[in-house]
Amino acid sequence: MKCPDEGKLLLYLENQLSQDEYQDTANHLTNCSVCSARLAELRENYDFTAHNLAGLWENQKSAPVTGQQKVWQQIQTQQQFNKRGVRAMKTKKFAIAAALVLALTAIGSMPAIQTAAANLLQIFRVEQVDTLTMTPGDIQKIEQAIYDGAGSIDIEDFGSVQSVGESGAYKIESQDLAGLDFPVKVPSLTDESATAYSLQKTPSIEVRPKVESVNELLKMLGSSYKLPAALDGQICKFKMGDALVSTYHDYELIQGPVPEIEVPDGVNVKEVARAMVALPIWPENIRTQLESVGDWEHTLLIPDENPQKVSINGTQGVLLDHETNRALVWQGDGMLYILQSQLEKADNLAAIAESLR
Amino acid sequence: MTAEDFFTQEYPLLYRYALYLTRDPEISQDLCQETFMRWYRRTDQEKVENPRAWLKKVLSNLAINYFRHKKVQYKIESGFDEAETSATTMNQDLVRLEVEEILTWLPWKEQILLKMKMAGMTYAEMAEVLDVSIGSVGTMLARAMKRFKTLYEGKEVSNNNEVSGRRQAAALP
Repeated sequence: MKCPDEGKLLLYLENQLSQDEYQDTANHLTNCSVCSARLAELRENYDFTAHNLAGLWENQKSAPVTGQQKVWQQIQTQQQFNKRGVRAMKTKKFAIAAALVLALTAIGSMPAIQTAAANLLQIFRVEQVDTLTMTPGDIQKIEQAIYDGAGSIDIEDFGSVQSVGESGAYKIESQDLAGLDFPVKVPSLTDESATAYSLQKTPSIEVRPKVESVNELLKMLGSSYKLPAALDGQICKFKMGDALVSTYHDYELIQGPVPEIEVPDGVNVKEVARAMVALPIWPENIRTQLESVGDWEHTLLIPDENPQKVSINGTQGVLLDHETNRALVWQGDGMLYILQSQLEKADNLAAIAESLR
Repeated sequence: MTAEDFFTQEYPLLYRYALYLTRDPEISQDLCQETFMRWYRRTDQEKVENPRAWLKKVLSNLAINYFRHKKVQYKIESGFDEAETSATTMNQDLVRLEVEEILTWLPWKEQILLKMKMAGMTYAEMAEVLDVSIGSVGTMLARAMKRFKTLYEGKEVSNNNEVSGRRQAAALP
């Protein structure tokens, strides 16, 4: 037997070798004075380190514990978000922001209707994702502006909002993947496979506006735009398909059909969007961003304090880069992808995203 | 046991372990949060024989990934020292701080390995969270122990360029 390296000697010392290896090493040590000296030195290093570091862990056992309540609350909040399918949003404030933007986008999609074609629907699919930089301060300003213009408002006064369909996450097995409505993509950077799969069901949101009340609100907020009376009670639908959540060791990949908005035929989405952007409730920086959206029918805005535009295989994606939690959102071929992780760096996330096959 | 009871029972232990590894209360809280989230996401919790060991293992892994990505050297400052209980005497504190600081001169992988070892993790567990063989754990640990002792004794480490230039200041009385 050749002389064992330091690592093997340590494993010998710690009784971590197989019976055979242990015996071989013991035999070698009795015959090799160099190695028995090395073993002695190793034992000395070990004892020295153990002696000096033991206090560190012992001391730690009485260290003050911080953040217990905060962490518990965050876990609960995050679990509730997970149930509702808003996984990428870290704080409650941003979920509210998202809901607000969603509501405004939905309101922004219910306009001028031609009675002749009232029963036909137009379907708008997300074809791009874009950033909306929005701080909690901005949200306060918007809330204040709405309050200043119209007082305390209740969304129910402006129409009915209903969620239709199942909600929740269901664990599924890898053999079920083939039965999904879409081809499942997997990262090809490594041959790591997902540790768990679940199917996230998100109900559709159906909005039936009360046109008169909405128009009153628009007027109070200083807009001269009016929804046509024929839209009263018509359904506008925001549809999210089932999404697959694949859990990997260091990150989670969510994939599903892109969200769709269905509005009664003849609605001029661009016109409505212009009217909404013109409302005097937006802080200047938000208005500038909203004005620059060219294609309201096909754009999903991702609100965050500091969202960044990134390129994923030539398509624009949005990166939400927080200290301990990152999410990357992009779309392609009618699918929306969200990659999120507490650990991976932004560059790594982008590399994983680009490696999807 | 309810989910909250489990959290209340395990958080203090897990948090202290995280703080021991990272020295940073905020990061420790984040790592605990993610560890518990992973626990609650498990649909087969009953299959885990020892939930406490499971939490510790997952947290170690998250901590390692954190360091791997941050590539940070541990820092001695951070509010931790002020918060230290008065139960420890000044003298013990000083010794502990010296030990802490010497540790920061080691490559992060060696630091965390030494800490995990001292906290009673088995070789198999360390190998698993570092994603290396038990043999590699042995090699890394042996090297880390040697380096620790050498630095503690204020000797220059020759032919080693992994340790930062700060080791010149390592000479202790």
